[in-house]
Amino acid sequence: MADDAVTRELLAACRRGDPRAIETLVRLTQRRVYNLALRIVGDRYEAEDVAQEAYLRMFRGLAGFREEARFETWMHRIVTNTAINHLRRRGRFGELLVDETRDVPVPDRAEGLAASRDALERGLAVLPPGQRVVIVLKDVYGLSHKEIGEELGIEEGAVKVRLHRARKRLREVLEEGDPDEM
Amino acid sequence: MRCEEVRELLPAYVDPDLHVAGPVEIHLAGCDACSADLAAYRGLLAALYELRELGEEPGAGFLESTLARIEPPTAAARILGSVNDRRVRLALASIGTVAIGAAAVAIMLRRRHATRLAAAG
Repeated sequence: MADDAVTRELLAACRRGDPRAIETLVRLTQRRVYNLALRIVGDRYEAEDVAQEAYLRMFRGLAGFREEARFETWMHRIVTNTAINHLRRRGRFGELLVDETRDVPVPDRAEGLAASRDALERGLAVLPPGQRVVIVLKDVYGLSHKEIGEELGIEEGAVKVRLHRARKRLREVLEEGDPDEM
Repeated sequence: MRCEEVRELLPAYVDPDLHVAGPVEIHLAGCDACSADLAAYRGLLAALYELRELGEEPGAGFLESTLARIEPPTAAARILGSVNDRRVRLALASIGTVAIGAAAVAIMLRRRHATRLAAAG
């Protein structure tokens, strides 16, 4: 979904409560919202709950959304916040604080994992959760270091350190998976 | 700088927000191996960025159940939403400017009228 697909006119119609506009907005954004939630909580059913909760918050907050800000960034922030609150409620927030390299299996080279989407997704999956959430939020969804720090309750400097480690580790994982790529 | 030192910095160097300029750039200009390493990080970031457009679809029925949960906006939210619409804000600002101008003219005319009355009296 390109950001320009969500037009000012569409957002204005959603604010007025136009059901067709609301449906259009959800259709346009649902894949991104759901996958961001999934990449944070790691479970399909929970990700759907988180995505729905995020939509409720989005439509409640739409009246206060200033159009000077980018809708996409605003949406990512809401989904992230909803997903992290979900993990907190379930006592799983601690997972996101794990920033140590574990002895995890590297994707099997025989499966032909390259720099394809699958390789990246699987590479991300083997990162420690504390590194994975930072690289996903920064490099996939474009949140700033400051925003990530605020969502996770950690210092901006700690975000940068985790990001550095995550990129380095992800490259190692991908190279171990297929030395011809990356 | 040595290659090992430069390569240690590349995961941050590749990010414009964390750009560490100076000696790293000088080294990269003369080192093909480290330049290739930087290009690999740039490729990784580009591939990660593309992930945002990809991913699986939510389960069947997700759209319908989501729409069923969304409440229509309250009257107050609609008014606030209108105020936050850039065009409405612009229109309100224009109306405000015209109103202030009209008030200023009215005050001026009133003062002039009062001065004339005082002079006549």
